[in-house]
Amino acid sequence: MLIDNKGENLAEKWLSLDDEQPLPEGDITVSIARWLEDKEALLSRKGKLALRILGDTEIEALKDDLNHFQLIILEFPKFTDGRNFSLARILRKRLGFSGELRASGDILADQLLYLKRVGIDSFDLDEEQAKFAKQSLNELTVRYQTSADIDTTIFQRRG
Amino acid sequence: MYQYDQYDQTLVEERVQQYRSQTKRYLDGDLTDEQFRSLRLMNGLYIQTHAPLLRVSVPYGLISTRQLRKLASIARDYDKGYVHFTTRQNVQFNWPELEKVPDILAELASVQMQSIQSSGNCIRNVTSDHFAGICPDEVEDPRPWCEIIRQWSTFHPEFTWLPRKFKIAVTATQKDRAATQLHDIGLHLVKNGQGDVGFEVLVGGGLGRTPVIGKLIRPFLEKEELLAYLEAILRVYNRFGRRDNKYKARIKILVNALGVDTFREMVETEWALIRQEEQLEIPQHEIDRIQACFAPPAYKADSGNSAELETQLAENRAFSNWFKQNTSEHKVAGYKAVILSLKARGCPPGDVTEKQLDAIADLADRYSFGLLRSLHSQNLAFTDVQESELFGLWQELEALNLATANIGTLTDIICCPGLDFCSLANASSIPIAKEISERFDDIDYLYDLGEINIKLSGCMNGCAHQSVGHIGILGVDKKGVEWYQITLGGSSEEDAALGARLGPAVSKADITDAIGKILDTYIDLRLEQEPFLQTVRRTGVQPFKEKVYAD
Ligand code: SF4
Repeated sequence: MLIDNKGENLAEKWLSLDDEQPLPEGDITVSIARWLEDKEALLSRKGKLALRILGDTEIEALKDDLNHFQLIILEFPKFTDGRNFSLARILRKRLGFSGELRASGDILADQLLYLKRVGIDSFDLDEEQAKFAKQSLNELTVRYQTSADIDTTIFQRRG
Repeated sequence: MYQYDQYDQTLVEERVQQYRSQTKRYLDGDLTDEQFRSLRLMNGLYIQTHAPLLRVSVPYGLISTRQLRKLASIARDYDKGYVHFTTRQNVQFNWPELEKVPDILAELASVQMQSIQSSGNCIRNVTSDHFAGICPDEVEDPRPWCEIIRQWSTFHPEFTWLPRKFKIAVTATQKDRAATQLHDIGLHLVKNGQGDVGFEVLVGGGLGRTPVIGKLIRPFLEKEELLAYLEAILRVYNRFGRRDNKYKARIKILVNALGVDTFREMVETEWALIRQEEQLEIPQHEIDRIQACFAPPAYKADSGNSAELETQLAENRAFSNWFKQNTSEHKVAGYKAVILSLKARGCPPGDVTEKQLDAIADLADRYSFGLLRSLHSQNLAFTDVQESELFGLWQELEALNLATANIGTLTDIICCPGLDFCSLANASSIPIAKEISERFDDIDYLYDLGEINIKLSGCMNGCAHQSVGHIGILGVDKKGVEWYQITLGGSSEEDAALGARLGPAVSKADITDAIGKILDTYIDLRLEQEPFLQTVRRTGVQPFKEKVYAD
């Protein structure tokens, strides 16, 4: 189920393309392997492009490619794997990615606020988790740290 | 001590509500066991053999009497009337009901306490020297920095789903009372050649199955760079630490695999980028505000008559024993720090009853400015007692069974819960500690042995840090029978080292005898005043081995 980072439902506009599938028209998401292999064909095609990445991605190596993507999907095979939190933060604040960032896969409602803080705009997650999204996105209002959402630490914000 | 402002208080109150709704979702079937497990652990709730266990944070071991009384009332109302102090200065309830934990958290929040990140794969409660603020040779009070780290690490958006738990300790004296070399990050406040104060940074220490001593990653870090540098270490670890095997997931494994030089390069590269990207320096007014919370109490200039103390010491041997073992020097003349022994004969190490807690709170109000400390060694301390009041305090502690004069001796045992409570245990530990403390309870014998620490864990996870005990005892399971492996010569202090294995494991029936033989060997071998640790380091384990395994 797809929601935005306020917990509102979103309609899926993207087609997720397997590495073997022929290139269709329209807005598609591809893996890094597909991107690296089919770069030219992908770029000469009509339609928008999105990249799917996993936590072990060396995201810095893709720096010069990022402007081709309207969306980057960070895939969570397991909710306990926190590497994507760092990748999102790096994409936003280091590599300057300004398109949509989406977290997808095994994600708990309780992680949404953290993901939003590191720069995620949308979530694709199980319905059982999505139904608690609004609640958990609003549970904690105090933020001690800087991240993609706020430039100051609590220490700077106080008095 | 640090006082919550409106942000801190709002945060803990929101947390109580959040945890309440997580618990409800679990009970309603909206969270699986596995999902809830991660969430409850991040709130200090384990499921043990008999009941849940709730670990409450005592940041850097500092606790007020108001908080202590709250712990006592929770122990009465929600538990079985006692609490347990841990090696990381925290406090545990052994029998709370899962459904009632949110209510306990609400009670704790009312006295500025919480259990956030006291377990789970996240940055844990930061620990420090239990004598912080009173040491004559302290470079600077480490507690304000601990508090800054506490806040920075609380609900960190990026570092809350780490490969494994992450522990940070901070000290500021030569003597290491916080086992900093055995932490994921150890920070030492030091002065550089120019007289500036900053941090020496160690990384990759840890116990458990693969004990490793921390490595120096940066000899001097300017204070204003603290958070940027911590973020750099944590980001490298979060991205590259192993996640495929929980026994290889601690940062120590990553540091060893890469080598400390490569790891350092990665951290420093990351650090340089963070410095360009973010403003993590803490404004001076905020440092001042936090430091002011730890200002020294109003010590009396004239703290009494030392002649009277001399007389009391000369006339009362029990008092002078206690004075010698259980009090410690203070930077202010006329004051002493007093350690309350939670290692009375036959008592589970680190346990305190609710009645004792209330009584301790009253004593701390009367004798030590209403504050106390919890120790890595699972004892408590009053850090600001006037020398002229020591005799009176000693008598009152005696009446509470908290004045056993055994601090730093063989019976000041660090011990994990073991088979009695812990579902991971291979062997019992509390009954062994009890047996040892009963067998070797002759106080003159203990003083003759001098400083020896025993650390006793019921399984490889090593919660009692046995691998760095002068004498380490590790419970192992052999075909359903409890056996104990002994190591000698470890230390968690500034001379940190891992103990050497003595030989094959010893049976439960023989373990106390084996300890006796080790002690006899030491007495035979020692040179004049040579402490146990030095003897073992001089002779190696061989002579001890021969004695223990002789038929
Ligand atoms: S060392 Fe093992 S038995 Fe002891 S508390 Fe830790 S996990 Fe449990």
